[in-house]
Amino acid sequence: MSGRAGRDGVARLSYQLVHLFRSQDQCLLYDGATGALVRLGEGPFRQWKQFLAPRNQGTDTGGQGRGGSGELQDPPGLAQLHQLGLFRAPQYPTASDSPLGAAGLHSLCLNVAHACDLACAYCFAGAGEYGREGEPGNASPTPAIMPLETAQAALDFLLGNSPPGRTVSVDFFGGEPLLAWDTVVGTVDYGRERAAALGKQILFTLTTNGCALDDHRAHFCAANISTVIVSIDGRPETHDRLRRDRSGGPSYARALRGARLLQEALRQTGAHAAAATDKYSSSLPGAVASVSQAALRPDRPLESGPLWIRGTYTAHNLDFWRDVQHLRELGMDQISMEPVTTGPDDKALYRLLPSHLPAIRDSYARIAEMVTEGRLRFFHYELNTKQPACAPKRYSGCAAGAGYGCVDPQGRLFPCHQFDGQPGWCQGGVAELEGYVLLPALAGATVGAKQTCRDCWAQLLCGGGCHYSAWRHSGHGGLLEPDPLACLIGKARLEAALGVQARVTGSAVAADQT
Amino acid sequence: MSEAKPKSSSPAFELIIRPVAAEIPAGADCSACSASCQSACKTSCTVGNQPCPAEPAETE
Repeated sequence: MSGRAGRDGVARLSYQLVHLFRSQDQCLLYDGATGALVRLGEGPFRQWKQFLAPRNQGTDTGGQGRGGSGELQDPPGLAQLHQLGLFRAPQYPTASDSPLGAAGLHSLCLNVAHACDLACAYCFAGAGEYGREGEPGNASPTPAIMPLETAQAALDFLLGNSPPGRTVSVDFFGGEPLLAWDTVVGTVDYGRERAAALGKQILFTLTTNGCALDDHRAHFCAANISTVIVSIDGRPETHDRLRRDRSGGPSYARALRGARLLQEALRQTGAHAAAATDKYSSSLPGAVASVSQAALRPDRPLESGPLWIRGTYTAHNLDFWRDVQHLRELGMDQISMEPVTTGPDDKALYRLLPSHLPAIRDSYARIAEMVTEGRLRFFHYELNTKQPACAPKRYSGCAAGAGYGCVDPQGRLFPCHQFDGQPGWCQGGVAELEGYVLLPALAGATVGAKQTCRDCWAQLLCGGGCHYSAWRHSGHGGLLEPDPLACLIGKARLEAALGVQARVTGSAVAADQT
Repeated sequence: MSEAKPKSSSPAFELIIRPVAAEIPAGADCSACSASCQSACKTSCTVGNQPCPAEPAETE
């Protein structure tokens, strides 16, 4: 069967975004334009590589014009896969039909504390203070802790600018949000009351270093916070290298103690039994079905419930799979591990470099094996395959300023927590703003507007990446050129994630070579 | 699929994830979305991890 598909002149096949790779001893084909994933036999994989090698990109009409005269035979399954919907040309929303921002505001990050009890060397927020001491034009430092009245105004803004009948969510962040404990408690009470009065559902999440957790706070979180994210980098030597307290002392033991208090509180409140209904889990129906239930062994149920451990890896622990393994051995079974973020001119020794990619790939591959074996849930591998991302997420993965915002302790709205305090990005005070307006610069920063992304197989999974990362990489000059190292790391991670999916998901269609 | 032969131990291909729809919804699919991107954002900038549950809000 050679080149039948498309000979009617209607269907044009596009291989522009077809990506061939190996993961977990599998030969995989991912069609970036349609999001389809195919496992190939070894022989067909080689034939596909040979088929795609001379073209690299572009469209083709069946066997016409290939390699000059179509002398290459179609690889196995081409026509069948085309019939199944693969190899469409990518398409992008135009400015007039862009779905971005159509739904209004749905979630707010409350930076309730521009202060932290730690001073982590790699913190994007300048040891949690967001540069508040040095803001130009400020005669005195801005408030470090958000007053409850400001948080209430932020919730009023959120609830008033989301469509009727909609669930909204609020994340307590900082700095260290536990330093603003009274604000956290008061905001939860206020939010519950206001949301109920408006017929809405409100969900709270909290991201903490865990050091200031005690039994009382842990029980409050277990009862009121749908997802708690505790930052632990892994092994003690990894964690304490860069996550130091204000006196330069280690923090691993306190962070772990906090996580354990949460685990115990969740166990006592029974929240762990409701793991499948926590905000995070319920928000990933496809992932829960395809990864968690299939991969986690029945004899080892989830223990952590709505508790997630979030670590950061740097040049100092490129073997971060060992940190994931360490956390798993401690009983933490829901883990995320993130690459450290640095600016383009950052010379820090912990900075990640392109030369680190082989080691990073190896760590992701080893973590993928752990997930496939059912030993943990790894955030980045929880791809939603049964229910793909909605259009706004497909074409712009970052929701900064497009449904998501961040409010600082003064009550100022920013597109996201990383834009907090950055010049030119303040959208106004939540107590004074008349409504929520999408920022045009962010609305236009879609995959279709980014040439790098238009050529990339991962575009529908990545959505063009983080707006702040692109803005920082450009030297604060633009949003349309992603950080190339972030792209390379993201693609390595996605290959591992797709490999996990191929391992734990049954095939929808299988065919022999014809 | 008429051209597919009975599955053997070494198939030429297995479709694992089906293609997404070609059309681009203009936002209506977001109207019932309870997705919160912020926790996803803080641990990821990957759309595949950013949820779209499309579940109606629970009213009390």
